[in-house]
Amino acid sequence: MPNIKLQSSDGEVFEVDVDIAKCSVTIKTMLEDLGMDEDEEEVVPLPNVNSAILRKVIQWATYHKDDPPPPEDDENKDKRTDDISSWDADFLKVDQGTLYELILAANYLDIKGLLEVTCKTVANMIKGKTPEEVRKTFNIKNDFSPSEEEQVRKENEWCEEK
Amino acid sequence: MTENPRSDDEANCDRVKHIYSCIVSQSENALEMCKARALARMRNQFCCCAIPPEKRKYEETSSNKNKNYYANKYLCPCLNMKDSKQRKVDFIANLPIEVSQLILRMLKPTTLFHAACVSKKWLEVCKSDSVLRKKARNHKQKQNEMVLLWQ
Repeated sequence: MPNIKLQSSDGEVFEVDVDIAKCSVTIKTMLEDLGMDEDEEEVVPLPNVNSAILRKVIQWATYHKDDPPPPEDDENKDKRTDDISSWDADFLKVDQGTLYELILAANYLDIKGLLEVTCKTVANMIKGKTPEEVRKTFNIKNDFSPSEEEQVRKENEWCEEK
Repeated sequence: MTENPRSDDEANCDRVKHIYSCIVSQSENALEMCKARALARMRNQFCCCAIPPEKRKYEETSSNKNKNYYANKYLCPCLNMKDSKQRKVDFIANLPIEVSQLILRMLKPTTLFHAACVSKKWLEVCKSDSVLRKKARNHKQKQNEMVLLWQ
């Protein structure tokens, strides 16, 4: 299998199987646009991803390299969030800072499967919680006045058609 | 080894970075616990080399607080490590809005109403997405119908 080199924001170079790297639509497009030859000694710079995160992303992509492509989304259908595989759940047992950076990297690299499973993980942290419990989970300051909050809670007018 | 103190500093700094990144890279669960302790210990030992040479003089008379300040300023950013393992992140407020919407779309309507009450920013994100508004509206309508049925 041909390899390509990916360089993280802090300068570390990772040699990765091309097929694994191409699960990132961003890298795939980049390679196609540049018409890079697969045996070329070119290094692909990824200025938005540091080495600790890139290492994790590669680990995830390597494990999932034979997955079928994720199905198209139906935005009106409720998405399940309780179907995270045990490997993914273990992989995502990280602190919130790391999870945040993984989401940013998955979004930037355009890796749908990774973006989905990381977002599900955050959704599961919100699920079934009261506003106060959510604030506590993510250390958020309540910037509503009591009357404002009461109004949002009671009227829910934010969802009305404008 | 060279006599030049500046290169010594640089060498030290590289060494610290290397050790740090080794620890960071080994994020197996078993290591998580001692990682935090090891980081704290190493910061104490090595934080002096995180201080740029031109700031050295200032450091000599300064407290641990300053050492930590420089350790955080010069070491942590390059490794993207924050002091606390328990670092919390307001995902919905800080992620790109389309990603925040993606997360909120995964919630059941009842939790979605709770999410809208968390903060002004969260409310703004809920408001900005027609899919979320529709979902909430449908739920509200269903609830109203239920109430009518009961009456």
